[in-house]
Amino acid sequence: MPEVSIRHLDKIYDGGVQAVWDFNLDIADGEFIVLVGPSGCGKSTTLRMVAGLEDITKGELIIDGKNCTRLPPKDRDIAMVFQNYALYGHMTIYENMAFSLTLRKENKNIIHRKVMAAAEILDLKSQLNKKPKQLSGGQRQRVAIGRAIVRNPKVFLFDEPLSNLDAKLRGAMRRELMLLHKKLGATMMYVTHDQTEALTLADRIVCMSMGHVQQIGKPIELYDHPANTFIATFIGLPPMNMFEGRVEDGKFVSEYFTYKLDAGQAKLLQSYDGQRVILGVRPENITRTGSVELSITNNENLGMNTLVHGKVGGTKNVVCKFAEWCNYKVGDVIKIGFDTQKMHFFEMPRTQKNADGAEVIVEYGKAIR
Amino acid sequence: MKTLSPTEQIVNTDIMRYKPNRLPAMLALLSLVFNVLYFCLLYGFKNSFFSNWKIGASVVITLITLLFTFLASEGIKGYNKKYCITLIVLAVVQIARIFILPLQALANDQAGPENLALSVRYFGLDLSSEAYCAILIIWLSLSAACLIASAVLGYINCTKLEKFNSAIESGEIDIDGALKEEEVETAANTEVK
Repeated sequence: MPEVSIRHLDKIYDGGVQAVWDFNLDIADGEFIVLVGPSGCGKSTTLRMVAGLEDITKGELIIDGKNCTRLPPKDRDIAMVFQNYALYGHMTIYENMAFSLTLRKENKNIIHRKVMAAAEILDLKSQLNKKPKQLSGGQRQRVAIGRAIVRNPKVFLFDEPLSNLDAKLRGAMRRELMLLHKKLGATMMYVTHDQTEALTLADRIVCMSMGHVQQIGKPIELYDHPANTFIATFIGLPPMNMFEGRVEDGKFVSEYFTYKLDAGQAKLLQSYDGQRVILGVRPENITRTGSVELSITNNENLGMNTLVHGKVGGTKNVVCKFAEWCNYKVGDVIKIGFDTQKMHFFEMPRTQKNADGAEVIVEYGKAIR
Repeated sequence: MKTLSPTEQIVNTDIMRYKPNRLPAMLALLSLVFNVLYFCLLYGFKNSFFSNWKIGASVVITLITLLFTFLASEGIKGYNKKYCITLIVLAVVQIARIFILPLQALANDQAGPENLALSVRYFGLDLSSEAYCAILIIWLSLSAACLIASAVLGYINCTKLEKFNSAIESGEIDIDGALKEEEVETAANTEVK
């Protein structure tokens, strides 16, 4: 039986704005689920509905076999860690960590044991008699996590816990979270807009956009087999290069270049002959041998690889990631090609005109498989 | 009363390391409240013989005691033993004050009809000079009592913690071991129940 089961969850705010549409997810015991997506995609709203901080408009939430849809947060046996730590400034770290148990009127020796055990895990033992303002951001976030650990909840919820930290500390905390998950073996739901966090931490990623779940899968599945154009461009840094074109007699014809499809690709796109499709290629799957001309606009050496920015066909921006150290100058023209095994094809996205007459995407282009 | 096992005593003292010395600090703050009640009454008279330099001195002493009581309460909260002395000094000041204004006022009032009787309104009540002086003495006594209790309790806790810390440093006490032992004891007790 899954630890958490979310069925057909909808969130409609009082003004009629729908933030989450038909969210479905089963989370297994001990699984680390990351909800990722751009700002306003509904990921935090979903997490807050699981936490009980937002009412569930429609749908069902089951935690460990118990229907928690209408239960108040305190009865759901969950613990949430917030972006802004939410620590009590006048209390010591020990008291902050012990607070929830003190409220429950637990025996003080048991509280002590639990706090000390959590402090040991999080390496906070030497900080326990300090006040939150005496700690760094990373330590404060560890305290917030410790406060969740002492409760020994069924599910841990994290709402962008690392967003307030600088890049270096974020990396360190990310590793600590991974270790913590291994140590505790707890079920965790984690919200972030940072795809690096999602890819490194998750057992499974739930990628959201416009209130809809776009794809659920293991990080490698989302990276290697994106379900649609949104996932393709959202997951991966730099994002995937996308070229619109048409399938014509075994060729992909775009306004920038013509590419001869191999036998496998031609078979895959057989039913799309004469139709518009999108070709996607990740920057690292672009090779320096081929027939497509790229006019260099920027050369960024990153040490372990080089990001080469350029234009194809004079207008289309393309980013390439070469493993070698390159020294191209602005205006240089090179020939590039694509790794045929790593090319992605998508249907065209479905668009609609909004009230202002602007075209908006209502459905992302699905992957052709 | 339930007697604590040695392990439980260790755990209880260990908890003190991470929590402020709250009870003595609260007692010090309570003495501050009594002090406030005292001066609300002291300056509540409408007419009095002692509208002279004593009032000025009393205001200054009140301000000083309020400030130092607060500082001492914060100090004792952090297990700083030195503040016990401050608290005792403050208690002595409060006791001494009983013999300055309240008792002098009472003596003066009772000296004869030629002396002007005190006229005081306190929380909506008209007080006789005897009641006025008695209440002043009560507030000061309570304030002093709280300060003494705070100092004594604070001293006991500070000493206990000091000894505990030095025992940890010298390796006489093993906290982790005690915690494990305590866990086993709790589990055994639960099973028995």
